[in-house]
Amino acid sequence: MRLSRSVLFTLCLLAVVLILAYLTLGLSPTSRLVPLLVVVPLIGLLLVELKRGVGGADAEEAGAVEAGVEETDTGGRSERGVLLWVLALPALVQTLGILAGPGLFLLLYSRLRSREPWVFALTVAALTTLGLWGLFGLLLETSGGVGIPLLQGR
Amino acid sequence: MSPVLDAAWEGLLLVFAWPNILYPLAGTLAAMVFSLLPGVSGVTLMALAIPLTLSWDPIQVLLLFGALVGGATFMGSATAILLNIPGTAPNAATMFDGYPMARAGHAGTALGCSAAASALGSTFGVLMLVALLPLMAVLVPLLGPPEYLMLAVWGLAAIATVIRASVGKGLVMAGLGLLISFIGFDPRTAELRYTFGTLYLQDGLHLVPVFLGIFAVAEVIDLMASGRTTISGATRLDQLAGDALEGVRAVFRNFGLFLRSSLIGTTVGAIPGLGGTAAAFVAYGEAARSAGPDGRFGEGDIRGVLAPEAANDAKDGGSLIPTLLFGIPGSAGTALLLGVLALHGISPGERLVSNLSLAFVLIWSLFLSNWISSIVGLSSVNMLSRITVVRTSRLAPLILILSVTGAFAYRARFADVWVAFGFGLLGYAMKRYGWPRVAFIIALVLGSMFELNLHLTMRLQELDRIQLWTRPGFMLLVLLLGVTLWMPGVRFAAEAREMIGRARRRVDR
Amino acid sequence: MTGVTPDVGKLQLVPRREALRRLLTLCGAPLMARRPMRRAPAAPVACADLEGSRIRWVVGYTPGGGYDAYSRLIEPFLEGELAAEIFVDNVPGAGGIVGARTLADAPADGRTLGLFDGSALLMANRRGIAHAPAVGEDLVPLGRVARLRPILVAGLRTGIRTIEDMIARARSRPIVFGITGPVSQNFVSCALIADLFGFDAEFIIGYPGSSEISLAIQRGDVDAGSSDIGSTLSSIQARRLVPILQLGRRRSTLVPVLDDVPQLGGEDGLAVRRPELFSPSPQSGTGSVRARADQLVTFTSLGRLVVAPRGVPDRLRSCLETAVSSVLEDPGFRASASAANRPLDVASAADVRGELAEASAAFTGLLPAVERAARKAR
Repeated sequence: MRLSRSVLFTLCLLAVVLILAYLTLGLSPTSRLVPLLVVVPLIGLLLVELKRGVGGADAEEAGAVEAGVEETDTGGRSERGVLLWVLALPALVQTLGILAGPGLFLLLYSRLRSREPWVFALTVAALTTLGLWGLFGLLLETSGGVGIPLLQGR
Repeated sequence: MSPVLDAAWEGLLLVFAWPNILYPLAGTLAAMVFSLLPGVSGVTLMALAIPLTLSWDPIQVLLLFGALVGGATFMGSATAILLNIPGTAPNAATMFDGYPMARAGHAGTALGCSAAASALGSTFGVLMLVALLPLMAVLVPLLGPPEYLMLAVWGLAAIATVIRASVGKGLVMAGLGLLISFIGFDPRTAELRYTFGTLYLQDGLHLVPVFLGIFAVAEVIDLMASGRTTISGATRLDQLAGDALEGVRAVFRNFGLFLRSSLIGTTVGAIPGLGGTAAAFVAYGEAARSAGPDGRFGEGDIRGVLAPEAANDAKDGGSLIPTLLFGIPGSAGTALLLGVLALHGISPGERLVSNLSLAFVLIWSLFLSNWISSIVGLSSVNMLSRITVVRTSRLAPLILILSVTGAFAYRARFADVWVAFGFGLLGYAMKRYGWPRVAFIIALVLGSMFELNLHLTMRLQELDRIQLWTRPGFMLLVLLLGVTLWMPGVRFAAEAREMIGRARRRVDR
Repeated sequence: MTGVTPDVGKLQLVPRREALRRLLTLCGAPLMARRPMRRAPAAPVACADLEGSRIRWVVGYTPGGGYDAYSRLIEPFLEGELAAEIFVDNVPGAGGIVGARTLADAPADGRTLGLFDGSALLMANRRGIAHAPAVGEDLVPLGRVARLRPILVAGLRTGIRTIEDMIARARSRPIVFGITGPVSQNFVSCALIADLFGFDAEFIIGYPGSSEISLAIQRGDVDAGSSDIGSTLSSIQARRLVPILQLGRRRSTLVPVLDDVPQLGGEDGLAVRRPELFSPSPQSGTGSVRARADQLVTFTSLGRLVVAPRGVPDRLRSCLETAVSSVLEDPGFRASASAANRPLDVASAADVRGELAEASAAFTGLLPAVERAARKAR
């Protein structure tokens, strides 16, 4: 038995579904009717998938399953790097606000990951910030201390 | 001439009277520019325009608003095809096949097909509106919860078609989509489901951030992790295959499908409360079903672009039917329109129907803007396709920022941004481990429509208010559903047999 | 709606007229020939703290709806009155609760105000809906713009033309009402009407909105329902719906068809003129038939209230109350509301507070009947 990441994902899905199933039980008959009809077979199906996954059946059909999935072996490290970069953006937006967050992200990304020249990185970051200011500051009403502050996160 | 045609002609003259014609032109162009931003739809622009138009003449208001709605739809599908970012919720169905086409270097074809299907779909919608306006007073009341229920089931049944590669995983995704669609306040019992005590989840998860995550963010992660240099894999424009004309021709080659999709769009659009997203998804499902085993849906089948685009634009005509007849809005756009007209002292049902030419001003403006945006769109296909040859290292962060913008612009909540990125991770995992995302999304969109109308139908039946088997609409849909389920059912049985066979062989060994 | 909210009416950020003006100026200058007339000239009251500031006006519903329309009518006049800029922020969700909670949690500095349905909020809070703020406590009223004017309507094919018909019909089989939700205005109205007149009723709960209920009545799915006169008027005039009973204290004579439709409460209401129609032993309310009818009316028609978060300093609050009331009395405002077909029924903050206390007390008496109906409807 091997616990691949694919099987781990199935296990996560199962955990989520089990939590939802538990919450469903506390609802009134009207509210839980359809969720129960969904959640019970769902648990069964997930167990079947889990068994197939542990049995290695997934490997047989990997790649054929969804459009454009190329089973490129990206290696754990580069994938982890990508995920960190991707999650850095909402974190920056949360802390610095909707203007500075994306601007800084673009600057860092262009310099550190894409290794673009400074001029390019700065220009793109500035233009993006300007565009966001146009959208949120001018078109949609968020500036001026009421509504959503542009320059700060939460 | 009949009074309807008279009114149509009079309305047309009003549209082309100087300076009235400037309004649809300006409105369309403004809508095209601004709807490139995800989260900004025709409805957003209409809401923005309300205060501005308070002192205008009602004719000019109608002209501008028709154009804002009509102009925004094409750009929404352009970003769906090119970047996997749905401009508005109904465009999400266009991503399923549009983006794989762009990945395969056929962005131009997909864009051409989308433009042609939009323009022709809206024409179909308007024609149906004109033809059916006298009949609709009889037809719309025939449709009730049982029919809505069957429409939802029919749309959900399409999942069976798009998950052929892995039925088990597809069903799991569909179930998960349904469960997530139940999050929030249950209006029937005033209970909260799966909200974990938060205010944020009380109104359910909103579609736009979820779509942005499952598709756009997930795609960027995949793009970056896979080391692909550009979306299409090509680095120069001349390496791309297919052109816009091929897409336009595809509409005519599949004219039957086009007509069916437009009909679905108009019908679903005419039902208040269902909306354009349901229309596009039901049409997508019908396309996937009717294509049968030779379809490559979810992998870049052009019919998967054609159907939702035609339905999405045909619904605008349909959504005006209940608006004009009953004063009941058939879509977000018409709801807003009614509100604005009320501010001008026009209440539909009285002045709008008795003054049909005014209604036609709106219809023509909508029609005109659909054509303008499609023509502008067609002529800029090459420029737009260029996006698919931009280097990943430059494009990826921009798509991420567009996703943030779209999630945030929706209603200015940081939590929406996190939801988008959370679903982005989920979507990436789904893609990587072979769980069909399309099934998840279809179930998510149609889940609450299914549950609510199942409940209403059961109650109506219980109180002896309806007889299902005497309802023509219901029976027709049951029949269609039977056909839909027949073919994948056969395949499912085949797959099950094969699985059993495999298991036996394993045991034998 | 549960779960995923459909795209209908989902709106987004806040309209900004300046921005659109600029946008359209770029796109086509001729459009700008007709600028909206704004800013009613009015003597600014002493809300000096707010002068020049920007005020967020929270509306818990989508643009285009009634609350949005009233807000946009008030906006320019209140801007003139306070010498501040106001922007309307639509925060829809969970029947107004998301917006109301947003407002209740906002800083109480007078820079966040809103327009909400007093009865709906009171009901949601008293029925224990999570996060629903208590109007009168978490949200303080600054004035009333309009009352809702609920009316009981029946389908043409039911043969029911009057309330007497309805009572008689209910003897053979229960009246079926179409309802949006168990904490909605229409549910409380219909449940209490059935209780007051002592007839048998069934409820089909879950229609997405009042327009869907109106269609359901026309289809014959349900016999009757309650909704606002404004939104059903065109169907009534087209004789697709039959008006049965006005659920107010004053009879609306907006259009001739309503002239003969009796109203429930008030001096010459049904409860005074025809007390024999009412059930001798209802489970709701206390006191005479008239008192019980008035309780229902009081509770369901608190109306569209201008509210602020709790804790606004007294001076600022009284100045805001004055500003709101002078806007609502402004002839210019009244003219534009009437031009937009938006009826007014204005009351001062003090009056609203009185009514709130009354309604809250009334609800305690009415609650058992409502909850019994809700249990039955499940």
